[in-house]
Amino acid sequence: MKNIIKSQLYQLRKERLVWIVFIGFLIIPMSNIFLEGEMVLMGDYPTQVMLSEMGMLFTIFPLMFLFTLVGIMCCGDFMDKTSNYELMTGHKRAEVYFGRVIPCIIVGLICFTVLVSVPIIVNTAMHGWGTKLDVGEIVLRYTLMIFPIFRILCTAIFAAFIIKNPYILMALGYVTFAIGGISGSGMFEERMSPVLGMTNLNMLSTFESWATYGIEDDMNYIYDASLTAGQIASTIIVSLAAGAVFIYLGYVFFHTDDLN
Amino acid sequence: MNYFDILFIALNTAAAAGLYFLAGYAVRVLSCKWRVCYIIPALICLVLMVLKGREISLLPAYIGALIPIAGFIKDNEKIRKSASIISAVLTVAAVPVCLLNDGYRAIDYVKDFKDGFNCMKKHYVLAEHKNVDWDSLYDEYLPQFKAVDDDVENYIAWLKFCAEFHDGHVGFAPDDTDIEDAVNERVFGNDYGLSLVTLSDGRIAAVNVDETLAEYGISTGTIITEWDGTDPLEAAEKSEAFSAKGFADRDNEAFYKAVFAAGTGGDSVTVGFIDESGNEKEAVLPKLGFYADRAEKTIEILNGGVETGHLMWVEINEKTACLRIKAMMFDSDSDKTGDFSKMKNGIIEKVDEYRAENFENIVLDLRDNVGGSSDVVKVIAEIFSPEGEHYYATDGKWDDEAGCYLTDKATGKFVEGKENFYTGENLWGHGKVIILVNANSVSAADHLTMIMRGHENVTVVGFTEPNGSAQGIGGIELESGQFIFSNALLLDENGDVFIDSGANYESGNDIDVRVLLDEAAVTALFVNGEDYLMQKALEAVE
Repeated sequence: MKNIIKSQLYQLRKERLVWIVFIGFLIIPMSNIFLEGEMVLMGDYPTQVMLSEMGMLFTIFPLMFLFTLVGIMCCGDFMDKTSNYELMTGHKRAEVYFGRVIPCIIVGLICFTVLVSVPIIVNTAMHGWGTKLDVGEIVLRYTLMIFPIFRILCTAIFAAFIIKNPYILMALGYVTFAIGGISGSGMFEERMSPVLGMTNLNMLSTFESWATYGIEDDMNYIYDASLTAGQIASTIIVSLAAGAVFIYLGYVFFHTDDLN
Repeated sequence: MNYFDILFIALNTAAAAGLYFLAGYAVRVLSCKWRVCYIIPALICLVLMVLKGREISLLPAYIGALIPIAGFIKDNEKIRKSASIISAVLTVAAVPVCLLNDGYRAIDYVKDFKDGFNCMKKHYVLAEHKNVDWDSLYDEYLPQFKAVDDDVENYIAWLKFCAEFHDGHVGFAPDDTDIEDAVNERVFGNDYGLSLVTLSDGRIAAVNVDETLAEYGISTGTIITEWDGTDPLEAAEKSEAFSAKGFADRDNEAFYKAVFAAGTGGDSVTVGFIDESGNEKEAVLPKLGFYADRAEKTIEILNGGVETGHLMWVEINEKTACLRIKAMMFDSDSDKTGDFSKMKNGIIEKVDEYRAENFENIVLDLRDNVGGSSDVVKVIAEIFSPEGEHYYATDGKWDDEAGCYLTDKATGKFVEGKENFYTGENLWGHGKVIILVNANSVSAADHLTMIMRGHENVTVVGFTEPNGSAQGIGGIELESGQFIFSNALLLDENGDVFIDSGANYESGNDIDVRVLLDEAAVTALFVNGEDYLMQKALEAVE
C-alpha cells in the first residue's frame, strides 16, 4: 500500500489540471481582497468584515478543488485501468482502495487549509484583523471545518468509486458548490446544522453579528463567533461518523466491484 | 400533513417497493451496479430533510430510509427483500405518528420567546433608561409562552410582552399576517354597539354608536357614567387589547384608554349613562358581535389624517396648503443612495408655487406617519426651518471593545458621540408651518416634530403628542415572526435619551397646541365626519 500511496502522490505532483484548479481557486479570493478591499472599500476591509460577509464563499470555493482532486486521485486510475493492473500484480483490494483514500484525504485537508487560510492571512496582512472579532473563536471555527471537509471528501470518494469518471465527479463538485451557495438561503430549512457537510460548513462559517447606527448611518458592528459545546461536539461526532460510513460503503462497493 | 412529508413518504414507499422487486431481478441479471439503487431512499431522505427540516414524528420514516442500505452492503436477495419490507412498513408507520402528534411541525413558541428575549436583553438600548426588570419579565412571560397553542395566542403574548416596554419601537410582526383579524377579535372583546372616548374634562362619551341603541336613549355624545358596574376607565384595564397596546407616553394612553373599555363584558353589559334630560339611567346592552371593527373605526376617526396619497399636496383653503406625509420615505433609489434631492426639489417646486399664489400656511400632516429615514426628516426640516445650522440629535458614543454604548460611570448617563446638524433654508419664511401629529406619528415623525417645534413660525398641533419613540431599530428573525426593538442610541443636547420616555413614562416630545376632545369635537368627528384637528389648527395660527 505504501508504494501505491507514493505513486499517487508522485502522480498528483505531475498533474497539471490539479495545479491549475488549485491556483485558480487561490486567485479568486485574492481578487476579492484586491477588488473589494482595495478598489471599492479603499483598504477599509479588515478580516472581520471579510469573514462576516464572505466567510461561506471562501469555504465553498475550495470544495470544487476537492472534487477535482478526488476525481483525479480516485477515478483517474479507473480510466486507464491502472487499478486493474495493481490488482493483477497481487495487491489486495483494500490496499488499492486505501492507497488512494488515505492520500486523497490527507492532501485534500492540507489543500483546503491552504486555500482557506492564505486569503485570511493575506487580507489580515493588508487590511488588519479588526477589533471586534475574537481571533481564538475564528481559529476554532476554521479548525473545526476540517471535520465537515473530511466528511465531504469521504462522500466524494464514495461517489468516485461508484462513478469511476473524474469529469462527472468534477461536475458533481460544481453541483456541491451550487448547493453550498444556496444552503445559507431560506430555501434550506436545515441551513445551520450538521445534517449535511455543507450545512455544517455554513454553521461554522456564519456567525452572529449585530449592527447599530447613527443619524448619518455610521455603523457599529458586534460579532459573536463563539460556538456552543453542542455545536462543537455535533460537528466532530457527526462528521467523523458520516465520513467513516462513506469510506466503509465505498470499500464495500469496491471490494466486490466487477472492475470491467 | 406537510406536502414535503407526504412526498417523502410516498417516494420512500415507492422506492421500497421498487427495491423489493429489484432484489429478485438482480439475481437473474447479475451486476454489482444494482446495489447502488439501495442508497436511493437515504438520498431522498437527506435531500427532503435538508429542504424542509427535521421532524421527530418522521423518525420511523428516516430509519426506514436508512434500512435499504443493508441491500447495498449485502448482495443477498433475502436481505434486500426483508430490508425493503421493513423500510416500507416503517415509512408508512410515520403517517399515524405525524397525525397523532400535536407537536408535528409545530413552531417552538417557547424557543422563539427565549431567543427574542435573550437578544433583546443583550441589545436593547433603553433597558436602564426604562428600569427594565428582565428577570421578572422573564418569569412573567415564560409561562404565558409555554401555554401558547397557536399563532394567534403567540401573537397576543408577544403584543403583551412588547407593551411592557412602553416603546413604539418594540414590536412583533408575525410571519402569518392573516391572523391579524383573529387576534383583534379576541383581544378587543365583545361589541355592545358603541365605542367610548374620554373627553378633555374627564367624562366618558359614547361615540360610533349603533343605531339600535337609540331605543335605550344612547347616541353619539351620550355621557357614560358606568360600564359593567364599574368606572369605564377601570373597565379598560380588564381589556386584553389595552394590555396588548403599549403607549410610549402616559398622556397618549389616557387619551385612548376609554376606547378599550367598550369591549369588556359578557353576553350583556349594564351601562350607566346620562339621558337627554340629564337623569342618570341604566341600560342592559346585549352583545352584538366582536368589538374589533368598531374599536378600529373609532381610533381611525380620532386619528384620521387628510385623505390623499403620500407626499401629495391638498389645498385646504385659499391660504393653506397641506403636504400629507404618511412615512419618512421616498423611493427605493433614494433610500439606497441616500440622495433625496429629487424629493426635495419636488417639495420646493410646490412651496415656490404656493408662495407665488400668496398662500400663508403650510400644514405638514404627520398623522399616522410610520417613520422611516432621518435623511427624509432632514430634507423636510431644511426646507421649512430658518436659515442656518440647527441641532438634530447626538449619536451615543459606541465602545468598540465592549460592543455597547459607553456610559459615564460617575453620572450613569450615556456618553455623547457625534452631534448631528441640518442646515435650514427658510423657504417658507414668510408664512406659518403647522405640524399635525397623533400618537401614531412615530420614529422619524417624532424626530421631525422634535427638531422643528422650537422654530418661530412652526406650530405643532394634535389631540395627543406624537408617539414618543425615536431610537434606531434592530431586530431578530424568529421562527414565528420578526421581533424588533430600539438598539441604536440617540441623545439630546443635554446628553439625555432623545425623546423616548424613561421609567416616568413621559416622552420628551411635546406639542404646542393640544386640541381638546370636547362635545364639539365629538360631533365634528363622529357625526359630521369633519377634520376637526385641521380646523382647530388653522384657528390656532390665525
